[in-house]
Amino acid sequence: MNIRVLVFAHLKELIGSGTLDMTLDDGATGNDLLHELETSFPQIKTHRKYLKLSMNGEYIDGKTSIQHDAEVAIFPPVSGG
Amino acid sequence: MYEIVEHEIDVEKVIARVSVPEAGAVTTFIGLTRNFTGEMKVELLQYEAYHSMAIKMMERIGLEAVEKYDIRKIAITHRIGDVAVEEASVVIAVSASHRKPAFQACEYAIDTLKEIVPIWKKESMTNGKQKWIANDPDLKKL
Repeated sequence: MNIRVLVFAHLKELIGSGTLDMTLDDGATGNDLLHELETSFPQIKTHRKYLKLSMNGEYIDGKTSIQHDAEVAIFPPVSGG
Repeated sequence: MYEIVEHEIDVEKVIARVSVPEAGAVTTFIGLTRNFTGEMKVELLQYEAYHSMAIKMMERIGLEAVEKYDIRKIAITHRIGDVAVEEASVVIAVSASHRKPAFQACEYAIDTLKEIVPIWKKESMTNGKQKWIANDPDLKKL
């Protein structure tokens, strides 16, 4: 499945773009997505374990299956306030 | 009641949003850009938001605050973009019949905002260096 992923903050700077078009196997999980991201962008390796995932505006963990039509985002730990 | 703005926050407007005749107290929290991080002199903070999710999480904080504490209304405004020293990045206002739940809900709201609302800040120092910040003290500055 093809999905569009939003990335933010430091991760966006490391990758050089705020949106990514990615291809994942059907039924792929958040962890699969992070693995794919790391394969494409090895510079994020040291940050991977801190990264947060969301789907349709809700936090998800690495075991959650990604839905093909969902809005998916990956970002560093938040620092608002 | 929940908004993300790219300009200076009008604190009075945020307070006005929680005004109700039943309120005997309004508490506010105002988060500001501070001039030093350790030894480093800060020029400004640059904020970025995942807008739609940030609003959703702020709405959740408001609903939870109303469930947990005996309050009337809550409003949260977060600023993004450049926020200079002494300027406000976030303003929270809570109205309640009595002061105690208003204080408690305000503290709950800012603590939870710092944990879950997808907004990030980068420090710009007067020496030209820039650094992304993590709120969680257990994390290294990424």
